[in-house]
Amino acid sequence: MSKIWIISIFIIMILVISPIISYSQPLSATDATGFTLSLSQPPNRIISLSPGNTEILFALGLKDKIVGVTTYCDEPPEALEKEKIGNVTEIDLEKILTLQPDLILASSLTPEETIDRLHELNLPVFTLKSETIDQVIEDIAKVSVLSGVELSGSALVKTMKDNLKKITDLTQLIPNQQKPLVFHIIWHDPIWTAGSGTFINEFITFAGGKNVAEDIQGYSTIDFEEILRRNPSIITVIKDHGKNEENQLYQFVTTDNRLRSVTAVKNNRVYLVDSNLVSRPGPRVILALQYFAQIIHPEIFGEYQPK
Amino acid sequence: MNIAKKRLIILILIIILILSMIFSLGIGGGRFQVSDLLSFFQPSSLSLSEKTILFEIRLPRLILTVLVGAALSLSGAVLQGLFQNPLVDPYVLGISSGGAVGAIVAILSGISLGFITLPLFSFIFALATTFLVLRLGKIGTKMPLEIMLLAGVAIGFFFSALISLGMFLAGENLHQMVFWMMGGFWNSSWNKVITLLPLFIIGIPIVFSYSRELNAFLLGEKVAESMGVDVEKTKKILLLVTSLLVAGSVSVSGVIGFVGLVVPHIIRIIIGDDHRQLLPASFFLGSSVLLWADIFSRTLLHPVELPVGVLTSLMGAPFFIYLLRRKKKGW
Repeated sequence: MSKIWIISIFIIMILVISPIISYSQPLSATDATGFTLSLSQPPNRIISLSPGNTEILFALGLKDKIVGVTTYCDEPPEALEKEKIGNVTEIDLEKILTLQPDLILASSLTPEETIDRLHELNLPVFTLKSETIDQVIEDIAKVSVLSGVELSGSALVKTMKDNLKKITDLTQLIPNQQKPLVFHIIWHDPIWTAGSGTFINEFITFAGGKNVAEDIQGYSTIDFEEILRRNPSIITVIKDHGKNEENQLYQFVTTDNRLRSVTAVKNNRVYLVDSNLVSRPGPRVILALQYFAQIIHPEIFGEYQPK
Repeated sequence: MNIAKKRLIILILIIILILSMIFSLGIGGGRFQVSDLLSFFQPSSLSLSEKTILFEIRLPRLILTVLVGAALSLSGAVLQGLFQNPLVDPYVLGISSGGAVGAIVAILSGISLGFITLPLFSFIFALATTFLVLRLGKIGTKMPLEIMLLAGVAIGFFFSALISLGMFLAGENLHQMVFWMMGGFWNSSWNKVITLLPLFIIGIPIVFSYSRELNAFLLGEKVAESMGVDVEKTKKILLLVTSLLVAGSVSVSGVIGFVGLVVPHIIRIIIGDDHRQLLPASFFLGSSVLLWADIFSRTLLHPVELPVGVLTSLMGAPFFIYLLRRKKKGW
């Protein structure tokens, strides 16, 4: 009997003390590199080193705390007005130092040496390296904790999880043989596609399709013949912002003589998808998934009408 | 080695090439399939997609590979003979770096003239580079070969710096540039074959007709001149024709290394340096070698396709070192 008492008291003590302990270090999280960053107070000068990170910060309502972004950060448009610290791979360390950041969000695109250098300089770096939609959501939660906006973070996370579930609940019901074959094309010379382990693969799979390149790892070339042999019924074509090659690529897929026997081309089911939307690990991954769901199953999710 | 034996070797090389071509046509889905090969003879029984695979993907790719392989090794043999230097390769006059600068300009400027844009730009820039080198290497009315060689190297370095700068600035378009530089027959079409073919039909007979003059060059320019060879004219014509062939190759397949350097050396070891046999033998062996590199590029990691240019260098470099170590025949 006394044992139970002791254990109960012990548990109660833990329950009472743990919030106090965690309250003394409220802003702490471990990043993809295994580094645990602890901040004594919510950051007021945040630098984002990738477009995806910038989108996360804006979505968490931290736009006034952002002091530096990359030249590629164009979403939301207000990001364009922020101070630039370089592009994604070439980063101006001096600029970062003069901006006196109290939080730097690095990404999988940030060169390792840059991240190491930032650590050496004792700057508060946190690296986001998500490879799946779930990890993106997790990362958003971590950033919200670090930035002291846990509340808006959990709201955003909940909305994302709900919307994700809405889509996957419906696509899970689709029997495997009714899942259309989807081919995603990034470049035509050579043919460059997205295999398993990419966001694209997850979008296609979660949206109730089957990626014809799923036997390939990551982004890679694929033998031209394989497109004909695997005969996708849907082709998604990457579209770069304001570049002429999106037309070139789309034109290639829809007009090249060699692709005319492919079901997707015959049935006019070739769709342009925004490259930034489908490649950035940020809050819009759910929108990207929704678009893929509309492309693959318009009968369930309605017509694909990107903004 | 007597003439009959040399001719026999050339015949063997032709047979190897034909067999390799037939084998290559049967390669699909990462392996050799006899059924694919047989299908070529009964096109009416095929579906549209099977027909497209065989006649519009595999066949033009095969022809393009053969043409480029032949052009590179033939040009390599000619230029090595002309410069009397074993380290010369088809890109010695700055063609590859010129072509790469053209490709960068096409990608960065965003100019689009359809699918011909990149090949056209790289072809023009490659040729322009060659003319620049020829112009820089010309002193008075003469073209001293060693000056030209150095001019080619210098221009090459200058353009490499431009390429690096272009790639640095290319940012998100970097992948296109990387692919182009690695070289490959990824997207070979009949269009590319048709663009390259005229250069071949005109260029190859001209090159072959200069075998005797090239033999005279082996003894040095002065001796060649005393033997009645119009040295300056020979240099001019051969440099021009090989430049056209190599620029054409570069424009359709990017920079494919080592074939043009190593194949002529292999032939020299086998049948000696008489250009009357060296040139045709290099022509046929170059085709076969590149064909096999392409077969490997399509099958090693199937369905992923490797860049051919990487494979030729990977296979060529160790082989070249082996040849050097043998030292059986000095250059």
